[in-house]
Amino acid sequence: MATETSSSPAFSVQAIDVVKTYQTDNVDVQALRGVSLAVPKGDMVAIMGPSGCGKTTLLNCLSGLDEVTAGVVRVDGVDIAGLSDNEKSGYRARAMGFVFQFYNLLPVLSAVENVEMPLLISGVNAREARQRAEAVLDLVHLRDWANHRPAQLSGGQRQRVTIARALVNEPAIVWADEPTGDLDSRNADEIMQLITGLNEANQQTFVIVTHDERIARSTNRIINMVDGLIVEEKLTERGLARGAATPTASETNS
Amino acid sequence: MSELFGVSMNLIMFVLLAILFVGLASVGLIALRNRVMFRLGVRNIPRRRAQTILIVVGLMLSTVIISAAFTTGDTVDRSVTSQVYRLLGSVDETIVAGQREEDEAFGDENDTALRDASFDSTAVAPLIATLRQSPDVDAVIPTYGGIAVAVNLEERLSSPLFTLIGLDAAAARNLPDLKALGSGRVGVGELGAGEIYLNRSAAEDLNLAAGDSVTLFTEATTTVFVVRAVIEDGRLAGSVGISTQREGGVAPLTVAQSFFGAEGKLTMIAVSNRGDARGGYFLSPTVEEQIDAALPPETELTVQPVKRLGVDLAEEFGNIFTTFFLAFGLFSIGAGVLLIFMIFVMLATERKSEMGMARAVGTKRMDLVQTFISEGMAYNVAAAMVGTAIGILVAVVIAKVMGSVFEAANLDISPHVTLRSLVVSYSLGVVLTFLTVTFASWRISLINIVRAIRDIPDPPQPVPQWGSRGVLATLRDLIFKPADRTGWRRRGVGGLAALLAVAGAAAASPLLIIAALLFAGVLFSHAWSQRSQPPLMRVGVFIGSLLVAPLSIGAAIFMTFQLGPLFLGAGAAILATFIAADSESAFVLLFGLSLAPLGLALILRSFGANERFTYTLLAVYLIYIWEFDVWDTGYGFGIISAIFGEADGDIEMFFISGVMVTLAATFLVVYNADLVLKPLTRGGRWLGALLPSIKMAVAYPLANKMRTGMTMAMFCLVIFALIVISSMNHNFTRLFLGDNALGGWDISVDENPSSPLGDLRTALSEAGSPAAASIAEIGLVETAIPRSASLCQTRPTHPCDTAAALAGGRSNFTPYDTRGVDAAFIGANQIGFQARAQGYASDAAVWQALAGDETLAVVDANALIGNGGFGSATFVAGIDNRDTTFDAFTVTALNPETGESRDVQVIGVVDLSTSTTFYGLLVSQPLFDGLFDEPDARTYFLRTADGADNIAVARQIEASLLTTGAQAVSLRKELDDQSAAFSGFFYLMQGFMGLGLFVGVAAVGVIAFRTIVERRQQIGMLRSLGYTRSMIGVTFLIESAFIAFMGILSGVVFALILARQLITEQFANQGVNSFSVPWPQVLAISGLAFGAALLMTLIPARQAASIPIAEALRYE
Repeated sequence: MATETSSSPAFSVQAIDVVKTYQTDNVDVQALRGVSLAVPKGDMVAIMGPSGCGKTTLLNCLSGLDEVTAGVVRVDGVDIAGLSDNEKSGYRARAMGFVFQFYNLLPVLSAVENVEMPLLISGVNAREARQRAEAVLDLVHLRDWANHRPAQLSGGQRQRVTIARALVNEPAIVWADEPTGDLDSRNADEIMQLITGLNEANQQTFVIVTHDERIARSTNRIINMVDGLIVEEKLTERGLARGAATPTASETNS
Repeated sequence: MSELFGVSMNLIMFVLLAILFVGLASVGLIALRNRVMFRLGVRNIPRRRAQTILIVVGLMLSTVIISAAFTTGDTVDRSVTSQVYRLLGSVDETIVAGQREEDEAFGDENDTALRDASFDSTAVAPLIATLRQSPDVDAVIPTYGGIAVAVNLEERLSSPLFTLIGLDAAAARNLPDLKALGSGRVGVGELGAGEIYLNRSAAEDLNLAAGDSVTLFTEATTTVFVVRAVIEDGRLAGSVGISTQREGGVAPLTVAQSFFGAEGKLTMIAVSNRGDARGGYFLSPTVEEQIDAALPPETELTVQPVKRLGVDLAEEFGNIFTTFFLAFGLFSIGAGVLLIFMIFVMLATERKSEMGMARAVGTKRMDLVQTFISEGMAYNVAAAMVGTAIGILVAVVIAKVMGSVFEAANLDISPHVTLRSLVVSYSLGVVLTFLTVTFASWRISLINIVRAIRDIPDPPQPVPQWGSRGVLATLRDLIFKPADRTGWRRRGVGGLAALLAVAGAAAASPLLIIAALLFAGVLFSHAWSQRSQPPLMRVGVFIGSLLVAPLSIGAAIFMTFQLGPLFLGAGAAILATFIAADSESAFVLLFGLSLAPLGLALILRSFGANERFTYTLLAVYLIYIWEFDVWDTGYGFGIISAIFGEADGDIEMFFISGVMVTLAATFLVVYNADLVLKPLTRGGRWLGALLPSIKMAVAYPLANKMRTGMTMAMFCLVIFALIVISSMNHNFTRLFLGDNALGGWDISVDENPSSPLGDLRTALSEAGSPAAASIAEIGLVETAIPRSASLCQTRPTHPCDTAAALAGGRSNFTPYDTRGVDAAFIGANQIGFQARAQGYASDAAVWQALAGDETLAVVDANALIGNGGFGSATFVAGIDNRDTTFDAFTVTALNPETGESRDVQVIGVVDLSTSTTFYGLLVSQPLFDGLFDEPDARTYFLRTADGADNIAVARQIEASLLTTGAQAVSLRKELDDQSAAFSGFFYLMQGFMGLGLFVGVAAVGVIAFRTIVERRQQIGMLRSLGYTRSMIGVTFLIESAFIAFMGILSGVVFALILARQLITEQFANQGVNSFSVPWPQVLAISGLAFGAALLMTLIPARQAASIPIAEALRYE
């Protein structure tokens, strides 16, 4: 069962002293070495850092895709570690959306079929799922491409399908791992405009892992990581303009 | 076994060894000259152990089937040969009176009551003396053998065909043939007065042991003998046949002569060649010549090389069994080769980016081919070894089952394998795989470097620009597309050579398919007839067809674009040949009519025609022509015969239609399943949580048409074969061994020619038999066996020249059973006719006419020329099983011994299903008696009162007539026993063919394992979307279930249609519903295949479900 906590309902995501160690044949690799952070609801956060610093690992641990070795992760007040695998799956289907660098679309399904998949998983009936999927595709300007398969779409179009898929079940939080990493700058800008627009319009929380400083600046807040640790958190101009605030240490660890 | 399809096994072995050597040498050369590529290939083997095991299993399946077939042949050969050596013992040749057909010299007599003719012993004394002088002869034994009825009076047990053989004690003194059970050699000289040896079969039949008394009856005498010892069965111990007439006993020559009232007479001189039982075989031709030379001139004596004929017969049995198993195993072997091809294509897909990288850094195409060949050969050498060994184990199981099936025939089957068969099986397995892998490697090497590195799927075939470039230029591109891959325009002479090679290979593909299918078509006729093609050609076609048919199908799938014009051309050429040669081969016609449209469809596709429409139309067309149009069953329009005239097909149609229908079914399903499934997956709500799993499970197979199609085809091919065989078995059993076959009778009583019964009812009453009260009707049938009767149908171009027949010259007479039926039989029987002469409105009208007119007759359906086969005699032309009426025709019945002949009008053809029991030309008794002085056999047919226990009544009759040796059997029980043996053999065949299911199941496993690797990221993504573990597992299971189900369903449906057509066409007039579906077997076979496919997916499905999400997403 989900372990509800009473603390910090204002935060979408809270991580306290999260440690993640990968065990390989001969050595243990510590990918996260006690990371703590908090992401307020409706915030848009970029996680940056050099390759191998633990950005994707942190995103996976925060979203429940991976198990933490130690520490606590709460999403909307729910302790992820306390959920069973099936409960986590259900939670992801209801409350989370994912955007990956290489789109990870199902090549054998059309754009609209890809987008409706989370709804079908959540038990929405097929007719309603199709209507909602088409509506979201409209939102990402792909209504005319609904019946095309991924192979028939450009990189930018594919990523928009991914975003539509991530948003279709109206999740409270969207995780994006290098969402523009495989795109040219024009397409990258378009995608970020789309994401920021959705963030503003729907007040959904976005946690974005990126290498790209420009992309990071489009968010409210940048978290810099080095060697499995957060070394810096700073508000961007957009964040300052929107009145966002960096959570205090006590808020983060409470 | 010594031959396969008429080709010496030694020749096959050497050819295969040569090809094997070439294969191994090529890999050796790669290892020496291109070590890097060799290592690259071989090092792939330990990368994924589970996958390696699966590949080895997949690669070995064809070898298992081949090895099992060859070992079964060896087993039968060895078992029958051992039986021959055991029964004949020292006897290598026999000298008897009268000429016999070669195949009658050893084996079971057609008529068990036949007696050997005798000759004077003094007349052959010089012959015996001469032969005894020969250094090649160990012994010459004068014998006298006769048939008596042996009875154990105490226990009222009888042996009606007991052979008492008298041996010259002095001549047989040194032979080891008489062996008492458990106490070693005995001699005739040891017998005291009134003593005989009883052989094991007689002792078991009569339940007698040493010291007991046995009473022997003949028509003239009755004598009580004391059993001195029970001895092993053997020719010199009174055993005449293999499965029948094994019962007998041994007495001194003079005692036997005196018992049969034939003093100074002999029936056989047994000759033992120098050496032991097996060694004497090799001297047989020499001794045969010596005997021939020593025979007095103008003698009726002939020499029979019984051991040589027996051993040769055993080898022929072995050859037939191997051919039979190999032929029916072809479906599985074909499926196995498809699997090998698929495995390597999937391996290539898995390593696509590696290969792309290798090409990018300068590796040549040929290097890639060499890498794959090295890897494939390493798997192959091991897999063929394991396959050969498992094949032997399978053959051991087959031998055990055969042992029980043939138990009633007294044939001991024990497993045996020769080194030659091992070498052939192994080499064939390796060669088959080597060539498949080489072809697959060549296909694999044609990758686009950039697409391979980035793992981008190949783009769809470009639509020819015929609108802008013109049709001719487009067609040129269409045909030479494969050639352009060689870059010949840029590469000058080398390029031109490559171009020619590719063009040759492309042109050869359809030709090789034709060769392969032609071969499959004539496979059966090769087994039973010796054709005159040069052996090397047949070996070539044999090996080529095993390999090339599946390869070519694979090639067709891959190279659709190029093969279109070639198929169209080849199809047109075949049709032109069919018309020009005025051929009547349905196979050739239908093959041409299939290939050309296939080519046309491929061309239309490359011109941008709608994929679904084109292939669906093609599939429906193929199914129609192969399963409906050619069968005269009222379910087709007969378009082909209207255009091309009548064409005939035989068993080859089963093989070819299997391949063609599988192809059509695969096209039909892979291009249309979405029409059914999409509404289902959209529908909805009732699917609940299964909906997303079903959606995914169906989407992948429908998207990957080639992979799905190949796996489906494997299931379809094997299931098709199994269901056709099951249906045939079920319906044959139902038709031939059902109540129809009884002809309205319940019991048959065979009279012992030594003790005629006179009138059966009187004999039973006099004996006080309780059976008499249970008998309602008795009919008598007298038989003149083919040796005593010949028949000829008078036709305009077919004169019945009795003078020529009597002179032994060429004539149109066929030795055939002729039977006289008495008035009671005619009045009481319920035998139906599948065809009646014009003017006879009912079956009863035919019988009524026969009763009143001596010049009329009816004939069994086996006499129709169309029903011949397996060497059985036929003589009636112009009627086939589909006819219900015919014009009465004249048959001349000839007694070759007396020269008497009679012309009769045939007015009815007995139902095929009844013809096994009521065979021959049936004439009225007065005509029969006028033509034949004495029948060879007399059989009474009895109908019992309602509710009688026929088995008990038959026993009562035998017991009452004990001393006459009359044999009574319940016809129903006899048919049931036959049915059990018949079904036993069919089940054995089905079991063997069922091995092919492993191929389909293995394919599902290979795909499932491979799919996990391929879709790892997608699994991670689905899990991130909220898929639970169980949903992932269920998705994989449904996917496999879908593919297996579609393959199985196609196989079942199309097999049942074909079986229905085959049965209905042949047996529509049998007075019973001609086709029945063997539902229990259909469900069992389908369920087993489906269950096994799901079981095979369980492990990969669990693996897929347990993949950690983050790792899966990171996977590259």
